[in-house]
Amino acid sequence: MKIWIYLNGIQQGPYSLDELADMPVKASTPVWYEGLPQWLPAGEAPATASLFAAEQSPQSPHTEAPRPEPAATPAFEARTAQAAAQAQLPPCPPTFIVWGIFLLICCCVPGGIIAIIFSALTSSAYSRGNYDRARRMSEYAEWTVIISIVLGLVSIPFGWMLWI
Amino acid sequence: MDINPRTRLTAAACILVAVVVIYFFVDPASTALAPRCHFKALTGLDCPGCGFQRALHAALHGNFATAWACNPALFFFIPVAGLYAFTELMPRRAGRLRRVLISPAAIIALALAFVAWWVLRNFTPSDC
Repeated sequence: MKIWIYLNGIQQGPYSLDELADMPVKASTPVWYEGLPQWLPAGEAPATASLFAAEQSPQSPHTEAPRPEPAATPAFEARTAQAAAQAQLPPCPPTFIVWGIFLLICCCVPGGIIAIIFSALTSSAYSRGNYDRARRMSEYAEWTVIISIVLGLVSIPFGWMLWI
Repeated sequence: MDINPRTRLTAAACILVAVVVIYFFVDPASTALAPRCHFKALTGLDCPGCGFQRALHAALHGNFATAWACNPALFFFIPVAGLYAFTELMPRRAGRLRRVLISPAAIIALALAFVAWWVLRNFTPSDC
């Protein structure tokens, strides 16, 4: 399972459940994984709650434990509007910007330009909080890169002919 | 596409090593089989990547002056690509840097830099 976390003001991941167990994740740390409708505190998300259940049960076998660190969640919510909007989203889909520049460098200029335009569209859609569009643009960028590389490899022999 | 990150990393490392080995031992200027630029063949103009293979070959042999003369973008592209690779492979350490690098402003700036370089290089003499 791939789990993303929001720790120290930075969105990080994906990690496996085992990796999370070794990290300074608290019950109040926001987490998200495929299938969760939104970010949840790690102590409340079904997949990660087990990490904390083991720690808490010996301490409070009889009484209802007070909510761990209630101050942490409001602090998280009180971030700037953009960061909060992004925190509700899964991580930014890949932009393939290095691939776009790679295509430019490899003389595959048209493909490179198209791929970079899709990179920019991915990034700007994500920064406006439109995750679906960002993902679509990311897929377009990926396919542009794949098609360009295949066409580029196929056309190498034609390049030799042009120079003869 | 869903590829295991470890597979992806291994494949990337293999390709990188292959490219370095090939361009160390093969001089693209004296090999007929080196890929040629279609844009230059058709228009006579340099594209942003023209001279990159020769520059890579020269740089791998320590001739940085020749590499710079062939394509200075080499010295820009490798650090930038390395930076992006670092932020993708170690998002935990990259953190804020990663958010800056994937921002629309950074991507547009990179694209404009390459277009500017493309125009500029066709107005400057190249002695590669």
